[in-house]
Amino acid sequence: MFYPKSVAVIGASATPRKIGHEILKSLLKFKGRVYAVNPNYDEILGIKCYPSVLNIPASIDLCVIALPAQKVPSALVECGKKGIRYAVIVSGGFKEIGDVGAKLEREITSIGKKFGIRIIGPNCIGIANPKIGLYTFFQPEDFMERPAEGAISVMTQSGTVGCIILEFLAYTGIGLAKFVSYGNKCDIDEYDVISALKNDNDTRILVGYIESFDNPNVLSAMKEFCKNKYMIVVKGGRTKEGTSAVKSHTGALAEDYRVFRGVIKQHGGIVVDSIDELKYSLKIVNFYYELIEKFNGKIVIITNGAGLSVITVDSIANSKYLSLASVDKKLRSSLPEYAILSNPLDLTGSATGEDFARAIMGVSETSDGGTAIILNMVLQDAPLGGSWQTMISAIKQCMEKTMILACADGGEFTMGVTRDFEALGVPVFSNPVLLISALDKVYENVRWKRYEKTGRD
Amino acid sequence: MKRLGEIESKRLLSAHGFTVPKHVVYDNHCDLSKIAFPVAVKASSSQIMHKMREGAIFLNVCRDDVHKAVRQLRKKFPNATVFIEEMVQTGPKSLECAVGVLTTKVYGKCIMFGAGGRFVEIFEDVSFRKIPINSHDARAMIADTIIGGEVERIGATNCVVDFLLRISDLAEHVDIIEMDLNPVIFSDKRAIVLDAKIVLDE
Repeated sequence: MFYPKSVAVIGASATPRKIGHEILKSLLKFKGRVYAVNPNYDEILGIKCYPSVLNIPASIDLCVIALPAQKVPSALVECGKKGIRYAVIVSGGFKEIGDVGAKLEREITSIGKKFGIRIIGPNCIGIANPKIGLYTFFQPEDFMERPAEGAISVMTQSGTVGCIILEFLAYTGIGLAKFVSYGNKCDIDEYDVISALKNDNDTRILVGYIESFDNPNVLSAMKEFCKNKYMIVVKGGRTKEGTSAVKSHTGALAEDYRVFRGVIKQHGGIVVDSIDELKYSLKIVNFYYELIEKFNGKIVIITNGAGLSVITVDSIANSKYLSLASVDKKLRSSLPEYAILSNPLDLTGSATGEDFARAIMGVSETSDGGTAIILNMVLQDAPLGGSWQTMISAIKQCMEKTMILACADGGEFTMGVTRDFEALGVPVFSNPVLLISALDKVYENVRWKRYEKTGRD
Repeated sequence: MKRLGEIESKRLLSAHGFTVPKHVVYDNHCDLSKIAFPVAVKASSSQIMHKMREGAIFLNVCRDDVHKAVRQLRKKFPNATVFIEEMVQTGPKSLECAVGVLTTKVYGKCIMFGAGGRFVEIFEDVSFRKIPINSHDARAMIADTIIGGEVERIGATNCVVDFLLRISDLAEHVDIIEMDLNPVIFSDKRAIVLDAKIVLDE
């Protein structure tokens, strides 16, 4: 599915901004053969156009269908006759519109079964694999940045949420391994995607936007996947779970989301409550993929702004598994007099970049590898101004041993410095409350992995 | 599908080693001499869904008031079984929790743990896992809930973990499709099921 050698766009169009045109355009960078199918053209965007897939004088591995729903079944039959194994059906107008569409969807599902075509969709934006320049998207590149190659894969029921995550992976430089948007999932579903990506060496983290699970096998596949990799899930449609007919006390309580959340966590997934929290947890796991395994839930806060740290401490107190570590008194000698040696370790508004550097190195040296440092930085303060290069090199030096998560928020100036930090490989977050909440959920999963490996809590 | 009343549900639990308060079904020949007062007087039937809300229970009834309580319940619930149950003394070192089992379409049987009592639906301080669970799951369920902090504080964590594992095991091996145990009183040493409703798959 992710490594086709040839792709045909059925319903290709010569009109810019039309879906069939933009998909073809997206595929211009594909490192394989591309064909267009439309009886009205001989050529589109310099690509030869055929009246039907059956006229293409070569084998086709994957087709992308962007036709009106009523025309999809006959096109799919032709794909079957051509021996095509995978079909991305971008078209909408199926189950999501009601009975008429549902009937059409059953029809394409049975055509797929009959010919052995695995269907992705309908009503989706399809698949991506940056390694081979494969993007079946109708979002133009100048409207939606494509991520570089990376270790994150995405599975999503919604194309829209897929786009948001994809662009996050692009503009943060985190990068993408594989992407699947499967819309109505008439055939390929989470089970297929998880099973396929379990053995994909490029995928370390799988991000999922899920509205519902229908396939009970997904849980065992997920558990296998999550023993060695990470899966972060956000759920849309937090409505009632279909429970058994009887509604007793507990039955009436059984709302989908809480059952979903518990069961997914039990099978190794990280369940986050929002796309922002998803971005945060993804960033934590991606930056500290190895180090996070050693995390013991202990945190030292180093700051030049007490208020921000009070908020962070509140969040830690409200978290399930995180707590403050004690700070070694030995650090006193290496820190300026105005520093308040406790946790939070408050360097106060007088703090320079050098103070931060010494505190970071000191905490890293005196704590075991399981303690994380949260840097609450007020980049607006004058004494810190311009001296963060020293800080960054100290952070980089300690990042091998200690998880360091920086936090800063502000206007254009702060955001500019934040971007510099990130460009040099230091993860910066703007919201400490969300950071703690995401870290708590990631750590909960680390504990799950530990139990699975050792049988001990 | 068979809906068990409180007495039958507790009989099933008791047969599987769970602790329920001592009780006597009230009739003209019943022997109250071995029952410690005060007691709870309850009406049990598969039709009564929420005892407190429907007025099917009197708590802390002393010996002199038992007959009056029984008469009132019999009048209100002519088809129910009226029984007398010893009150379980609770204190600062015990907690009322809810434990349940439900059957879901996709995940199958799931177990629930959370804060118990009358307000379970309002506060929704509950956590679910698919059955069977292991001890890590049980601990994570406790951590998921706000009441979990209290469980920890009174030193009842191991007791709750053990109880959840045993309920998971029972639901896995007996044809239970739903179970609602609320409240269950936990302390550092024991778990006592005060009210129970079980639905069996037949």
